[in-house]
Amino acid sequence: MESIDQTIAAVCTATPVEGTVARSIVRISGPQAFTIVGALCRLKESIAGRGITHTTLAMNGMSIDAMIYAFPAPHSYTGQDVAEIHLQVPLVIVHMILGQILRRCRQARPGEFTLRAYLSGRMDLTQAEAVAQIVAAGNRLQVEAARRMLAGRLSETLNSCREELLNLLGQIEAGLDFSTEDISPISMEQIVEHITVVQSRIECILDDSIQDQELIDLPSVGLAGLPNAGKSSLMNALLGRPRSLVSPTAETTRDVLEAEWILPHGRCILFDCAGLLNEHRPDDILATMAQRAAEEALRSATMVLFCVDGSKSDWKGDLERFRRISHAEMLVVLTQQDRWQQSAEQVVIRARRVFSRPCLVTSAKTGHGLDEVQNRVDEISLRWHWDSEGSDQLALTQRHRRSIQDALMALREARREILDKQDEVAAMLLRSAIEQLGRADSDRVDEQVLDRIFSRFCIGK
Amino acid sequence: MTSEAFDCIVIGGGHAGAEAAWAASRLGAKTALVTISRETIAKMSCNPAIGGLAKGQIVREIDALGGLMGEAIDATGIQFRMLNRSKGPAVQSPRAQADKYEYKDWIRARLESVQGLSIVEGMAAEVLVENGTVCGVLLADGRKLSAAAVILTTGTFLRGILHCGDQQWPGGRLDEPASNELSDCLRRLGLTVGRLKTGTPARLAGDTIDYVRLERQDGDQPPVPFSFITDRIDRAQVPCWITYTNPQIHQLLRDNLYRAPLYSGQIQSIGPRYCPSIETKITRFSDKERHQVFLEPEDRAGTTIYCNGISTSVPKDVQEEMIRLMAGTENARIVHYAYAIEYDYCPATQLKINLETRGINGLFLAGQINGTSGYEEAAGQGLLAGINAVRKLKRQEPLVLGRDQAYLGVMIDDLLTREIDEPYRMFTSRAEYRLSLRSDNADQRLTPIGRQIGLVDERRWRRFEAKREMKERLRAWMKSTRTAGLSVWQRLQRPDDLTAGDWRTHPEVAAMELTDEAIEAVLIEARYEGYLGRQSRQIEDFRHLENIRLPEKLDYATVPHLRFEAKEKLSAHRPHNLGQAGRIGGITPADLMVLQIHLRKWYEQRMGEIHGESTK
Repeated sequence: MESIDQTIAAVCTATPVEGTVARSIVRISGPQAFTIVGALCRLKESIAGRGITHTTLAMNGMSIDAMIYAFPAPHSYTGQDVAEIHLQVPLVIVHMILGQILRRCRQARPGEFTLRAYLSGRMDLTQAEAVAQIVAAGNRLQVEAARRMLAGRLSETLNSCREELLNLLGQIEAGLDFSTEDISPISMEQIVEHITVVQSRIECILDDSIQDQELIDLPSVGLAGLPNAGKSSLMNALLGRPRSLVSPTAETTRDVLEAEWILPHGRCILFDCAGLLNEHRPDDILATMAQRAAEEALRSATMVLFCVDGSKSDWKGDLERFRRISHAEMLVVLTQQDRWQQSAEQVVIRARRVFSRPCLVTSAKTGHGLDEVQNRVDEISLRWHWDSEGSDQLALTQRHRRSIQDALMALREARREILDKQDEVAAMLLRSAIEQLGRADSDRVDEQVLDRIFSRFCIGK
Repeated sequence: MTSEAFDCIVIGGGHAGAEAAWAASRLGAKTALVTISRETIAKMSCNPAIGGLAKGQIVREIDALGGLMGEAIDATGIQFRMLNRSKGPAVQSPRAQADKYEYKDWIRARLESVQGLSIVEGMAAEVLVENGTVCGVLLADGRKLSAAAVILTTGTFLRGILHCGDQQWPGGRLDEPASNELSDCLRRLGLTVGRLKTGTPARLAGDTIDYVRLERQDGDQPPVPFSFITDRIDRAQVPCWITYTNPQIHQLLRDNLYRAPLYSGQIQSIGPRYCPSIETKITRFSDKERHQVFLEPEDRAGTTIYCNGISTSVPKDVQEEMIRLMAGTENARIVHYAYAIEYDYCPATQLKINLETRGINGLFLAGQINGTSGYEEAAGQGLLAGINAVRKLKRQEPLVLGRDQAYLGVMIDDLLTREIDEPYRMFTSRAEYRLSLRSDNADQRLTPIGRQIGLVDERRWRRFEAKREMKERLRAWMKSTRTAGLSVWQRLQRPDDLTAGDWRTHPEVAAMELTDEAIEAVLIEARYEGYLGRQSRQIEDFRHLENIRLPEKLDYATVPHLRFEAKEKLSAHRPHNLGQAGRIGGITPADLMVLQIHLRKWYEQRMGEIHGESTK
């Protein structure tokens, strides 16, 4: 746990829909709160004495309206200087803004604002128990989120980088702590090479995996349906760009393809599955694998868009498939309206009778009905965010990203210090990189380093 | 029988006991140092050397606080070397060979000169305790000494067993009796006792070694003193010698491994990984064809030679054969054979931050009894135990050094928060704030503290202030003097700036009349400035949690929402502050948050109770 003198920030609300736009609040507490917000909004004067300020934020070329509330210490929720940025924009933008702020302070842990409020005497004694409960619960949530992350590919890579750095630090420390022993420590060139390798692996992580990881923490929407029901075309049309290979031959989509879909009030993952097959073909391993991947992805999806070719006269096969998926949140999307013989009303009535679910009419070619699909998904996605405290989960990945960036920075500096023959300074930086890549519980780096030294070198003259 | 009354009794006259007795008596406590013989006070029972990597920093810290070790080695050293000279200043450490006879005589003479310190020759048999509080010590001959504070610094004496081949016999050191009664007494008092192992190599007769065939290692010229109050060391230095083991010796050891108690199962306890016996080295690193052996004189005349690198538990005949097979020692005579020793220690997780046992009020433990190894580690604990025993008697707050302040702080914190499975030795890599904890700035870190608690005398203090003032002047000059747009200070931060050296010859610098020590200190500050700044921010965060005290009476079992594992760990370790709690294995940041919430509630309730009582 860090000092309460550090400035912290977090998205602390996702208030229920007012009209059509969600209101979010980014709260910042600590001695730097006003400076950080001032810099973010490029304000010339301090916001400290101003109460409420209406301003615009520049973010990736967008101009975003924001209300800034300043609560100077001690008359604030936490008893410290508190700034709040009130925004009416999609969550994705809120998190971009938070990302900017987190360059200058750190992410608040669950319950930390409340903890500060309590510690500064802003809450009375009887509330102590409740606060402890919040913190304990927040911890469980974090542990759960961390567990999910730790199971993933990302953590495997990070752990192996950490292992490698521990070994390297062991060798550098052996040269510092046991230089009077008859051992041949690692050369400068070897150290630099090792650091460079780990550095580029971490850079790769920042480029790919973290984004993957962030995406996992978004609601997911799966496209399902029989082969050539028009899923891939619909996906491309919804995203406005080609993602999967589309061809008139059935079963062109083999893998689970996924893409980020920007919705009016947030983001989600839209994925397009391998065509679900009706006949079992044990000889086609590729098809079997594709099917398994598709089922796996659909089972864990937040919502399923079930695609049905509206031009077909018989939906028997579609219905069979539809029943086997039986997802609670399923929307029937009637595709290829541009090729229908019957009127849209007739098709919809028929489809309602067969599937007993809401049915939407679309055409990937003309763009008909796509907005309606998007709005339905947007609704479900917003509900998902509130139900699952999605912002907390995002926060964890933000924190991870920050740590990994810090680790990378430390490695770059360490490399420079090694070249300057300042091994003891490099060791300090490597240690900090290792700690950044490590888990929250404090593994004792020094013991791990000593273990490595003693197992590698014959120490003891 | 009447008992003689003291304020403080130190049991054991080793390196921990000597510093403890010195500190306690100098701080005004009427002190007794109980030792089997005054001749063995501060005896170097193993390596005849002081300092070394990380240990040299500890010696400087002991010295900066007003302890004995630094001055003693400066006065009696026979070869001085600054280790890691080619590396950064944070990892440089002084080391010296001592004339071990002069060394112990010097310390004894210093102790004998202190008013209020009595050296009592005898063997302690029992710590006397009444109602959970120490009241004195019973000696084996029936004498009783009374005191409200007792410091145990018993080294390897508690139920010590020496091993040499299949021979084993009780003893505290070679030719000295073990202390079994005291060990039993500690168990009776409820302390948990564990067992550790260490060993010492053979000593050879100096005049039977063929030095011509050996590599020679000389000391630095001029030697750099340990103590901040030593001006310079003028005495002549003597060389050490290096030889090597060889494949024949390794074969001999392998053939006789079954006779080594470490391998036959006769010794069960764990020895240190950093100081393995030669049989362990050849077993674990079997592909290494030779191992270095340093032949170090134990006195100025080189009468006896310590064989650094071949400590062993093999029987005498194998030791003789080994020496006969080694270059330069073929005809050497063994004066003392190598032996291994097992002894009792008390895991230091039973101690409070002032080194007092949690179970028995007024009983302090320091040195090897806490599971450490090394003269320096022992002396440092002895000094702190001596200081804190007196502070307790005077009802003053204990002296607690943080991990950010001193290696001594790192050591005590490690001992209190982690379970050890081998004798604990200091390494610079144990200190996360290593760049700040240097041997050159130990005085800056600790002498003001030593002054405040009363252990730093006038002479040391004046010297300290003079150095501080010189450093300030030089620093100011460096920051204000510019060439080509950069100040001297800025140039010093660039390792590749060749012009950085010119300032030394500047007439203004010469006119300042600075000591080399002061110049060196400022140079190091300049070099590390960027990183020291970053480290000091880390230290601020670290300090925040260190400053939140955990009440001794807090019942962790009743803290709501605390995880079961955390309750157990915290109840067992009873950490001194929140920072320490976080360093106990298995305690998470969320545990600390829950604890912090409960803590404020606890204090407020207490305040309420106290307030309620006073208004009744």
